[in-house]
Amino acid sequence: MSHPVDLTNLRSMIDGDTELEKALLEEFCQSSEIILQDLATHQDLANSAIWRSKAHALKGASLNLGAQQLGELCKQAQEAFEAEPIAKTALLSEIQAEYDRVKQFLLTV
Amino acid sequence: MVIDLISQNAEEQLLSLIELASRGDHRGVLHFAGSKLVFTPTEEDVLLTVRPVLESMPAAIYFFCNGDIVITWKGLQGRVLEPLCARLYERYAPLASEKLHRYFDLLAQGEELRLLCKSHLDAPPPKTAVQASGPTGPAPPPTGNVLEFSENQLRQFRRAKPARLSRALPEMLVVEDQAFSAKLLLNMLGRTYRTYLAGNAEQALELYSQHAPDIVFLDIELPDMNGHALAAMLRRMDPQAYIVMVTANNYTQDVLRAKENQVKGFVAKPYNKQKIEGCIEKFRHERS
Repeated sequence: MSHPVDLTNLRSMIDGDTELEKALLEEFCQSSEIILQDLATHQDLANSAIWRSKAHALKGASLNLGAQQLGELCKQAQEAFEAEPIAKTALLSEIQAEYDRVKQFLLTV
Repeated sequence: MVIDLISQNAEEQLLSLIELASRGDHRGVLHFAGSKLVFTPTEEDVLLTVRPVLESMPAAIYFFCNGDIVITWKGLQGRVLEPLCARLYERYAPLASEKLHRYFDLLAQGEELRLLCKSHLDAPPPKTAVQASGPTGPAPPPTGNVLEFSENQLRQFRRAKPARLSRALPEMLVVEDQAFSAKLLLNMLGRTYRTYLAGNAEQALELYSQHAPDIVFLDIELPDMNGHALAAMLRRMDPQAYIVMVTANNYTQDVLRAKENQVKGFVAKPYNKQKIEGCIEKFRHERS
């Protein structure tokens, strides 16, 4: 199974600064976990705009990190902003699982 | 009134209706219904009638009682309405661009429309009769909480702008609300350039007026304003504004709208060092 994150682009952006990389990876995890909580609490149709906004934010962060699969799942969530809560729950479960893989991987780099 | 979109003079009819609405002679909602546009006049505040349909938001042109005109559609309806509205925008924008808000697809701009409507609903404008005095009529006084440059900010900008001429290196403004992405771009740019960071449009207006940055890297999705609208506002205030739109979306309408706002670049996430440096080099080449 391929790695959930490719840090090549990120490292290119920061000229291989390892201290900065560590800080950025921590920032990614902190902000992602807040977004995941927000997604969990805004699955109803009345909050579809917030769901969409949060999914979009995590998508952008994931792509910038190099977590392609996580970004793709967030894109699906973003586009499903008008789906029923049950569908969003399923999507969020996939996103959470992929995020856990990403986080686990980042702990090893 | 019914405007048949496939008739030859549909565009003229719609333009006439919009011009009448801008003078306050008509007030209502124009609904997209198949190949026709159906105008439903109402004496009520249209903003209030928008509220129940905010969640579903049919394709429509809303004539608000403060003179704002909002065009929106959804998904496949854009195939018919988008070209027509694009032509309308081109013709109407020079007359009263501040009053014509255009939202091509709710997937991209729905949140901004919701915020715009909310700002009007929170502070409803006074219902004053608008005297017709020409094609556009006098503009109603601005109301609500819509972001715009204050007089103080405009003065600040006029004082800050001359500094651009003496800068050895361009200065940057990053407008991005997502913390990780913001820090990544800030760090990359900050190694070489003086770089400011705004987490929303309001902060962007303040920093732009204070520092007159040379290049703005502007995220399309911001919490308080659509990035395209902010870009248009910056360009109106500063025709020399050099704006590079940044987004994780890859929608055609975002690219088209960026072009209409005459932004100088469009960068899709993930950030790419070569592309970003390319934007800066292009700026330096154009300004040398």
